[in-house]
Amino acid sequence: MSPTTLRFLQQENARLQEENKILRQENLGLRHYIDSLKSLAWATQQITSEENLLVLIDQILFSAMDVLNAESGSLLLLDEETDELAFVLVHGDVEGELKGYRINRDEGIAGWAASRQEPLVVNNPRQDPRFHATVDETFDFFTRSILCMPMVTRGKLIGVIELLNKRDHDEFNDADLTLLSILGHVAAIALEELDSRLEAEEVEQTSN
Amino acid sequence: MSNTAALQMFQQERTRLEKENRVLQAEVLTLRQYVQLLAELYRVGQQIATIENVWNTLDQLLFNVIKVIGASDGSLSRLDAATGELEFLLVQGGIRQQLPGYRIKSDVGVAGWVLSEGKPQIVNNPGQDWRFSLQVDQEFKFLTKSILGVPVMYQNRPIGVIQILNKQQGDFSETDVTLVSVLGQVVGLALAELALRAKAEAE
Repeated sequence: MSPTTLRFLQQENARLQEENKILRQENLGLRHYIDSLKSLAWATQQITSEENLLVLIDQILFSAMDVLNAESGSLLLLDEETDELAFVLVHGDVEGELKGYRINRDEGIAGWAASRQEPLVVNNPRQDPRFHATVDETFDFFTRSILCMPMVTRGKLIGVIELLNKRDHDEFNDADLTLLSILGHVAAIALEELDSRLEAEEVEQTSN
Repeated sequence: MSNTAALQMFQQERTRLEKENRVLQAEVLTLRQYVQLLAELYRVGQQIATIENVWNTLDQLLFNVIKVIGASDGSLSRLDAATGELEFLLVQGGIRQQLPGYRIKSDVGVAGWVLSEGKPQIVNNPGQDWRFSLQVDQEFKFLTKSILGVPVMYQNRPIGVIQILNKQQGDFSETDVTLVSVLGQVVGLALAELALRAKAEAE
């Protein structure tokens, strides 16, 4: 037996080990993401405030970032009174500062996705005319790639979910978009349902 | 260690890793299919008002869900509040031709339990579960080996039940519950839409 063959086998095993490790991580991430969606599908009936619902959505947003290898992620809600999108949930480097920040409802990539009610992947934002560098400049952030998913239910815009900066300088793709679209739908339905339930309760209380 | 012993060890290790690799690949593939189907279910739910043949669409979705889960049978039944019965409307699998239109009391079996509790239930060993009813098995010469039941909710009330039966490999999992729950939500939207259309037609 030549040492070359042994070395080859050893390398091959190391490669397989690494591949299996990555597969195991993807497996776990996907399972976690899907399972966390269930809590939103079933727990929403018991939720009594938007704040509590956002805590649940926040967990799913975090697991979506994990599966998709995104460095940052945020959820923006539409404020119909001011026509602005407000950063309500933020994960990543600027989470402390960005929370509560507002942009116009048609500003930048998020605004584009919101007004068209269409998801959008932009892997080279600085070469895209729709990109606004305002947030980057204000918060000393650098956006390399964007995956943007509007939250829409029955044709009505609720807000936008954004993932930013895929790790290892990788690019967001269609499969990523499909995966995030699920959270977009679930979150939109849950937020809308809660809203109409709270409204109905308010009407009931007023009439009593 | 001699070269031969080292070789043997590496080869054994390689066989083990390759086997593990195949299992993991298959699992990841399945989970990606779940993600695809979940996205499709929500897309359909979103567009339900624009779909012409809602029943065909639901039948297809039920088929897809059963396939991705790796089960062999499944059904959608709807509560008839006037008679207190569950009526089988859509059926996939071995008794697809016979079961539609059949009615059971709405408090019978695992379906009845799921309906009254308003939450999903996995029964991987129906023979040993007091909630299980043999009525459909005996009537249609069917063999139920495992059940995943999920209520169809509309405005917070259960109005029907989806049952996925007989997973081919392993037990039903929590991931399966998520998928069928989302199908349940879509069916809830669809039934509401159909009721709206029927009302509009009657006026």
